[in-house]
Amino acid sequence: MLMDKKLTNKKPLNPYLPAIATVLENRFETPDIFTLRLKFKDPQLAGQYHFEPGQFNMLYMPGVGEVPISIVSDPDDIHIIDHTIRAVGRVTRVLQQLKAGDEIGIRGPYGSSWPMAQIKQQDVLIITGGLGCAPVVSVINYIVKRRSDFGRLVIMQGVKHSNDLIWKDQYEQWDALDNTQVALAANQTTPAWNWSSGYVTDLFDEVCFNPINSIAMLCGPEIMMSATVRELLQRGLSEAQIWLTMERNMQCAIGHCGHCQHGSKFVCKDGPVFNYPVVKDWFFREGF
Amino acid sequence: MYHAIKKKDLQALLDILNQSHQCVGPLVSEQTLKYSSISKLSQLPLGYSDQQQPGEYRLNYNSQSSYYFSITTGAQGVKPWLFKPEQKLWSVNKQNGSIEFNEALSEQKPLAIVGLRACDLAALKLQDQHFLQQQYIDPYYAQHRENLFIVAVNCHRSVDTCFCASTGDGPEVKNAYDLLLTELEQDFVIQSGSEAGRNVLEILSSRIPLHIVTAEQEQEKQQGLDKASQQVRRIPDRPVAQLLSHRLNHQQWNRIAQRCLSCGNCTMVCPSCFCHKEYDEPALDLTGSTHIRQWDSCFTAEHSYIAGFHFRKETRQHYRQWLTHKFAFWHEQYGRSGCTGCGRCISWCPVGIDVTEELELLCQEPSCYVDG
Repeated sequence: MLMDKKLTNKKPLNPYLPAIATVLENRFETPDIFTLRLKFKDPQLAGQYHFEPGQFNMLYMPGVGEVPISIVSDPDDIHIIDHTIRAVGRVTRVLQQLKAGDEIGIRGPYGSSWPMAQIKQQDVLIITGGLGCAPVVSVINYIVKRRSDFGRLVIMQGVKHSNDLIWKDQYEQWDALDNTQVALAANQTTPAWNWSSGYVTDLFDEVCFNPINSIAMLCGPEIMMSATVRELLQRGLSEAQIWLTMERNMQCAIGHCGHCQHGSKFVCKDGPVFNYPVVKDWFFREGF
Repeated sequence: MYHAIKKKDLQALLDILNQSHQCVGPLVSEQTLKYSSISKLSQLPLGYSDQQQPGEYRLNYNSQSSYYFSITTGAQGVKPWLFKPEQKLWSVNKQNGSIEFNEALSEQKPLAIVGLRACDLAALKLQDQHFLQQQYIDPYYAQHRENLFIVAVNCHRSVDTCFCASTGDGPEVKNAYDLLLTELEQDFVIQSGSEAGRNVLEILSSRIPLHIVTAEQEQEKQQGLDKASQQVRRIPDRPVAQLLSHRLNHQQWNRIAQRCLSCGNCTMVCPSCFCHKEYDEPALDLTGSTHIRQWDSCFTAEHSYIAGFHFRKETRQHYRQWLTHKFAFWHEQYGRSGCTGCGRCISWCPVGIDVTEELELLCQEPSCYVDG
């Protein structure tokens, strides 16, 4: 039997097919973290492209494969797309070798974004764990650029070792801004470290925000986000005030390949940014 | 309006369909049933029937039988014709530092499938929902699906692994077909369910006699359906979706894991499973690469793998993922369960794990679970 015609009378774009991106710059942040600055080769595609903070692209290294990478540049900057990547896997290790002028594949943007439009004039808590958390860097820059639209900005970051912190100067610059506070914690520290020691959850006594009018955005390992959610709830935030971004195996990014399923959600298209109540039934549960 | 045609006249239908379509039908192959290209009525498995049990599949032959469609299901339904086990998605060429992508989509002769059962037709609708009716349309699935002509067949018998009656998907085909056949001892009852079906039926009427269905034939049709509805297996008549999602720590998951080999056969034969992986096949001279997708299974360790970490490492977690997805989360994703009662996962499981039995134990009252 014929399919419903209304679904197919226009030739659909092939959502699996990448476009070509040119590498403008490959900047090394640390020995294994790098930022790829890309531009669409086709100016028409560049003009059509628009993303929101929290979304990601699929980057394709010819002959090697595709990986989902979050976008760290500002959505208003239409000429460039920045991706900060840690070289940990088969594809990212090869992406690390790229040089200006090289061409790779790009598809996107995909997934949900941080609720920037809904949180005007609220205090924003950005709580991250692990190495520089790319999915929220775009949010920090977004707020900094539109500072009067938001309330207090609190940036909390935990790292394993104080040497792991990237963008150190950047944190100091943010901390110096009006109505903005940065709190950093490291489990292991060197004498040069003048922030706190411990976990990111140990920083709550140091920061100041209005729990009634705050929104929290979490990024990091699930064990860290789970502990942070508990802490936030104790400190008077409701579950609906908590947002987080998740990582799963994503191969198609369009909700077809099935790998990223988390309970009933496809992390690639229903996420990666979720409001906590949406995922809490399976969040940080073994096997999900 | 129903009509009856003589069995030999089914050849005329195959001829008509083969003019405009690639016609595939249920043929015996590798000791099971496989949808393969068909042009002659004599290719159909006259006299063959199937016998299925947990971990067991046998074909029997009866030279006295006049039935062409007595084998209920084979290892695969129509899925491999639409959502291919392996599909080239695109290729990339490298030249002087520049790259170029080429889409691997080409014009296809429309497909006609003869002999599709109610359970597989219901599963086809599930695949349509997944690949065509969400945010993104899958052009590789759509190219085969768009002009698919479906000749469905009502079951006149069931095997021990069938449970479509309890999922509400069979044994009677009720919609989504172009033509529907019901096989009787001497004739086929034929009816159309779409405009394309009516057109083919009209061409057919110019080539062979279409008889008005008699009361006896109508009765024989109903008897066959009634017989096929007598099924020994069923899914529990309880709120399975809620019970499963609240019993993630049930001890039964551990007991299943002691038997389950995590081989993934159940997912490979399932007509609704849609998981697939993507990979590259680079040219040896590195001038290009082909990007391919291939069926994947949630029973593999790689399925949940990201940079150094497996979210589901244990067999217990694999089986739980499959079962909760199929019977619980599918409701939230697509508004119904992901199981249409074909029973393949029971027959083709090498250790004979019976999904209906496991559901029964998992959903049993009073509960003995500890949630946490």
